[in-house]
Amino acid sequence: MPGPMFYQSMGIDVLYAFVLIMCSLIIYFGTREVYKLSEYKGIKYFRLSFLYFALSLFFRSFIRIIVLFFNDPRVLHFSMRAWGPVTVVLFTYTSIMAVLCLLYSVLYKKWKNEKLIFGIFNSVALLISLITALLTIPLLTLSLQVILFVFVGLTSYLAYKDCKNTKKRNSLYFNYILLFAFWTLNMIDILIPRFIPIIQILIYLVSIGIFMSILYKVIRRVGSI
Amino acid sequence: MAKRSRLEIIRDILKIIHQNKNSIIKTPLLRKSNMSSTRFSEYFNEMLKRGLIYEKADKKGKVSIALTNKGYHYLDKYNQIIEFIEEFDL
Repeated sequence: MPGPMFYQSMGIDVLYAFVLIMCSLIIYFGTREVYKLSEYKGIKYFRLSFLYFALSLFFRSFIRIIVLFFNDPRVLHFSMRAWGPVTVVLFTYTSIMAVLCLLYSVLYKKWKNEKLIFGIFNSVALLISLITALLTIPLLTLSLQVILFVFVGLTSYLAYKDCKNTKKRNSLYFNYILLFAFWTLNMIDILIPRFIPIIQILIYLVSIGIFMSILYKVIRRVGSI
Repeated sequence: MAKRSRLEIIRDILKIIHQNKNSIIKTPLLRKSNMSSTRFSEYFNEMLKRGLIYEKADKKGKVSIALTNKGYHYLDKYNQIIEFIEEFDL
């Protein structure tokens, strides 16, 4: 029988996932009209990114709840590994795609070959998720996430330097780099259980803050959702 | 003069149609849109395909261009779209 700490931790985890899924879906559906009217590629990748975030968070937490609801004993092993490689692949793949799509939404004008770039993104995401799920070597998982973050961080910094609107760029790119950093920590936290337990709540709170600030900007610009 | 963006060009074409009481023949539309005919055709076909405009024929069979509801909606929401794109540097 799991103790109260288990349920408390599970509750916080699910609440966190629920808040972020709601933010992501509101952003995705709230920007549908501006995308349908404009068919603008930047908006397309921005929306796609939040759809991937929502899917990733679903795979992260809700599968646990569903299995718990149906009384599957495997849920009692509070580890991603207990869920089998499929969940890890889905979670890792959607997480990486979310980050790469957000990156591409600000860079698609420079990286012209959309099909090739998207093919590379898919391949990288699939490869990293397969390696993570099949090899289950914590150090390798950590290294892959850090390499991915360094790539995304550097590319965002270059996009930030090229951005003409200096007033907006500071807060936007600061938000994006924070989002990428905390998303990486999120992934490490899930893929390598008990790696960073002390700062888990901090990761949750900052991540919610970042998503809320993006949601606020979206609502401010598109009006009612 | 700064190069017009794709969204801006579409807005300008829709605006011309709207200012002509939502009915204009293709040739004056091309002239007023200030573009080459090749480029105009590209935009015109895209706008038809996206359902922003449609072609209507009168009793004599003369074809003119008009805005669809989506076209009107585009004009209404244009500033919002641009502000959104600028906000997120998209």
